[in-house]
Parts: sequence; structure tokens; C-alpha cells
Amino acid sequence: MISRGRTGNMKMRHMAYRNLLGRMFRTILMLLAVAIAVSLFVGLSSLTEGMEDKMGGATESMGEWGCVDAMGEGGGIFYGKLNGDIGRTIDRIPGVRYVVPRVYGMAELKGVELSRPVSAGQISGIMGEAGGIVMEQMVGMMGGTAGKMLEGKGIAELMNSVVLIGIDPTKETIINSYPTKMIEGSIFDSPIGGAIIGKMLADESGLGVGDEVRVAYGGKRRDFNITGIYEVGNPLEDKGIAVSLRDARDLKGMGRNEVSMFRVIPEPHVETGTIGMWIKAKCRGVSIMDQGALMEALGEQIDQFKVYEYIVEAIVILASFGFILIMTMRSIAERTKEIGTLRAIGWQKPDVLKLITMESTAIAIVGTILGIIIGILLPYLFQAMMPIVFPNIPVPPMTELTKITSATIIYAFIIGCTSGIIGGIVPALQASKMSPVDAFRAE
Amino acid sequence: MIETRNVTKIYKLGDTDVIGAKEINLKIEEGEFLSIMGPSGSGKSTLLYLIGGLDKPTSGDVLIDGVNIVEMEERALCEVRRDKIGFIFQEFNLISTLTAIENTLVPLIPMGVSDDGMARGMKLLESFGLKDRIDHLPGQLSGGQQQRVAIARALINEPEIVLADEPTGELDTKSGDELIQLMEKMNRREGVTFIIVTHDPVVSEKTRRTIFLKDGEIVKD
Repeated sequence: MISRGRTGNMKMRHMAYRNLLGRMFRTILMLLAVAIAVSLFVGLSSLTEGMEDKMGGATESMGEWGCVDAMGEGGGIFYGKLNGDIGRTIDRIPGVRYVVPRVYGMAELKGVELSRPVSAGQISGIMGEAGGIVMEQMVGMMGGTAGKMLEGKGIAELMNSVVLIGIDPTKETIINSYPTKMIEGSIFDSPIGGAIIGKMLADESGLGVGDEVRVAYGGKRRDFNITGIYEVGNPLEDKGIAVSLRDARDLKGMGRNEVSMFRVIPEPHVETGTIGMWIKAKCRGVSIMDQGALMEALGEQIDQFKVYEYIVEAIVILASFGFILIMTMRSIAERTKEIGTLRAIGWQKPDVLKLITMESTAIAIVGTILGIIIGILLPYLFQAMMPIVFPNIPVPPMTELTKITSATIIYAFIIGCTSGIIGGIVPALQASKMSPVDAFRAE
Repeated sequence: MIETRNVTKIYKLGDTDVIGAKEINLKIEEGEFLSIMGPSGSGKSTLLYLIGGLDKPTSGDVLIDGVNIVEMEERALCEVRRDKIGFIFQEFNLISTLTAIENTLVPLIPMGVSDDGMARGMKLLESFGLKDRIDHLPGQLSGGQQQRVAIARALINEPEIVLADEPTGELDTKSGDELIQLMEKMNRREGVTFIIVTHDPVVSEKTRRTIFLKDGEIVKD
């Protein structure tokens, strides 16, 4: 008898690879089945992770405590006004810790071309269903005046402007709110002429720290020196410019004591809802927006989205598993004579099982890696292809919205490999049990 | 060396019993060059599969070197097939994705292909006139060449017995003649016992013993 060496596994693997390469069409089909399932899993998971991340950023921009925004009825934050006395009234309400004034407006940057103006479609695309709620809330906040403004322009046109935010840096720092993160430079210290811009605006306008920018609001224009770039995780504000309260009032033509809204921070353990009710009771002509409740609603929307995501992922993975199962069974049915021959010439059942399992494992691993790569590239491909295929539809900034985590990659690898291997093992077990004579008869 | 004792094989085809082999008693000595003849459905292949341990008889015993393979467990039977028996099939049954040398070495793969095994595979293919076809896939070989690869595969483990099921069935006369000559050469040179199932009288004339089967029974030996 021929002596045997130690190269058995290598040769078996070699045979498995040769079988896969020799049946290229089937191999490609099975690889695609695994890759598509895994890429969709990675794509959907990264989108959900990205949305959660953005929501986390938006929550951070509200400060470390829950908060209530008080604004003028009818005009909302962009067009409404509140007298500074209201701020003092709110400050005296029991349970209120801080009252921080802000001025909001939609301004225009002169001599600056935005490479990608934010549109209503993009906002919806960014936030999905939750974005719809935000838009509704915003239009509600803008009130009647905004309604009139929107009649002529439409939301998309309105969104081509940038958000002007007037802040008191000292108070914002105390509540650790606006901006939550400076990524370059620092916040202005002078009450006149200093500005910080959002990262998205910096990216799209090419403006940077040290540059000068001319801001127009209605008929007024003012020049600002950019001292820093911030990021809050909210696409609307990240495409904004923040200046001092005084400068913002001047641009908007507001009185020295007037603001667009007050951000109210309650004492620890005091419910934002309670504070909201107190403000409504004490101050006339003030509308309340409970940011905590809004974020909760957004959170619920994201949870809902996650449920859909899990359903879609489960369907895709099951379909892929079924496809591999069917393809392997079909492949084995076509290879009945081959398996019968192997058994006839002395291959044991585990040898046949090992060969077929090696083949399906190779497909599962390669398909999974391929799927992970496609899943990571999917937002980029989407962003690149969309303007070509649908030139009139605004493309949401997918690459900024998705977030690939190591957990997503690990889960994708486990799920892809497991479904691929199990999909191959089930028919392999059946094949290995086949007696040679039954195999020849089946042929 | 090979002995069958009252071997009967009955297949169930729906409600009907089909007799594949009936009370077959046969002794085949080491180094024989034997053919089994008979019309279609006479049980030639059934007898071959029973001798080769590919199928179990309904009753009776099959002894190889005095060991009853009917009572053997699956694993041990596999080892007998691997170490003592080589198979040649009518349709060659080569693996389409493997080259001639890889097909020759397939029986060795689960245990590992040693340098000795590789050398023997090459030597067999060379001696069968396939030196320049070693890296060819079955689809790139003629029927005669494919069957020679199948013989090399059957002989790779240096078996005592080679069972050939209609080995010339798919070949033209010339290739068939060459193949039988090759098997006879291996029988004479290596002392391998060849049991060839055929319905071709020309093939059986070249063997030293012929068994005739009809309806699962030996009618002439």
C-alpha cells in the first residue's frame, strides 16, 4: 500500500478550491447571495448607527441637562421675538437653574458659494421619518410669519440660506451647550465682529479660521472674522454661523432687550414638562418646546426604524441562507455521481462532509468579506451614483450619516459566515450519508 | 480470495420484488482475469457491487481474504474499498474540475498524498501513455484517455482486486482493445485480480475465465 504523508488537509482544501473554481458560475452566484445579504446588513446597520450618533449629537447640543425652549408665539425661533423681561420672569420660576438667551435667523453669506445647499429633501433624507417631525415642528415654530415667508419661497429655497445664531458664549459655556464641540480655533471673545461657523458650512464654503465673511440679513450687512469651527451633530446648525447676541440683534434689527428664544435648564430632578407648564402659566404669548420630549419622540422613531431594519435584515439573511441551501443542494444533486464515486473508492462519510463544508466555508468567508467591503462602500457608491441616475433629486450626505462600528463588522462576519456555513452543511450531511449504490442509482 | 456464499439480493421497486442476485456461490482466486457476462438486467453490476462492498446482500456472505465484508461496519468497509479494491466505471466517473494526476490521486487525498503516492500516480499515467496529459482536465481528454486515468486511479492504492463495470462500454473498438490489453498487462505484471463486467463477447474472449449470469443466477462458469 502507498504510504501517506501529512499533506491531507492541504490537498483536500486544494480539491475544494478546484471544485469552486471549476464551477465558477455557481460559485459566483453563491458568493453574491452571501455578499448582498452581508452588505445590506452592514449598510442598514451603519445607517441606524449613524442616525443614533447624530441624535446623540443633537441631544448633546441641548447641553448635559434636559431643557425647555421658550419662544414667541406665532413667529417661532426664526421670526418671533421675546422681551428680555420674560427671561427674568422665567428665571424666578422654582426649579429653573439657568435661562440662556439666543437669537435665531436665516441669513445669507455674501460672496460665498455653497457646494451643496441643504434642502428640505436632504433634511428628510438625513433624519428619515424623524426629520419629517422636525420639519413640522420647525414650521410650527416659525408660525404665521414663517408661513408667509414660505409661501413665496418654499422650504427648499429657504434652506439655501444658513442659520444665524446669536449666543452669549459665557452662559452657553456654563450649560455646556452651544457649541458642544470646537474642532478648530476657539469661540470669539469679543462681543462685536467675531463668529464661529459650523463644520458643514466650512466644508461647503471653503471658509476657515481667520477668514472674513459678510453676512446679510434683509437689507443689513455685517463683516465677521471667523475664530473657530464647531460641530454639534445637527445638520441645520452645523450649517450655521454663530455670532454674539449683540451682533445678531443688530443684523436682525431687534431691540437691545429682545431675543428669539430662551433655553431654560431646570434644576436636577425637575421635570422639563413641569417647567414648561410653569412658563406657560407665568408668561403670556410664549410657546414652549420641550426638547427632551422631542428627542424622546425622535428616539422612538429611530427605534421604530431599527425594528424595520431588523425585519429587513432577517429577511435578507434568511433569503441568502435559503439560496445557499438550495444552490448547495442543487450542486450536490448534480454531483451525486461524484460523491458516489468518492465513497466507492474509499472516502469515508466525514471526508465527503469535510470537502463540501470546506467549499461552503470558503464561499461564506469570501462572500462575507466581499459583503462587508460593499456595505462600507455602499454610502459612497450611493452618493456617487445618485446624481448620475437621478440628477434632479437632492442626495442626502450619506457618507456623513452612516457610521461603521467594529460591532457591526463583527456581527456581519458572524452572521454571514454562520448562514453560509450552515446553508452548506445541511446538504453536505445528506450527501455524506448517501451510499455509493444509491448515488449511482440516483444518477 | 473472494468467495460468495448463497448471496441473494432483492430490490424493492414499489410493491414488486426484483431479484438482482440469486443464491450465488462463487470463488475467485488471487490473480484471476475474469469477466462476468449476461444480458441487461441479469445482475452483473449487482454482483460486482456486492463483491466490492458497495451494496449489502439481502442474504448470504461475501468474503474477501476470508473476512466477511457483509458484517463489517461502514468505516471498516470503506477501508477495505480504499486499500484492497479499485473501481473502474463505464462512464469513467472522473471529477471534472481536477486534472488527470489529481483524479489519479483522489483516493489518497483524505489521508494525505505523500511523495511516494505522487510518484506512483505519475508513473502510472506515464506507463499508460498519458505523460503529456497529466495536467489536462477530463474534458480535454478522449474517452480512452479518460478511462486510462480511471484505471490509474483504481490502481493508485496498489489494490489486490480491480472491479470494472463495463469499462469499454463508452469506448470505440480500438480504445476498448487497448484498455483490455492494459488491464491484462497489469494483471500479469502486478498480479492484480481483475473482474470485468461486460456484455461484449470480444472483451470476455480476452479474459481467462467467464461467468454467465441470467436473471441473477450463474448459468455458466
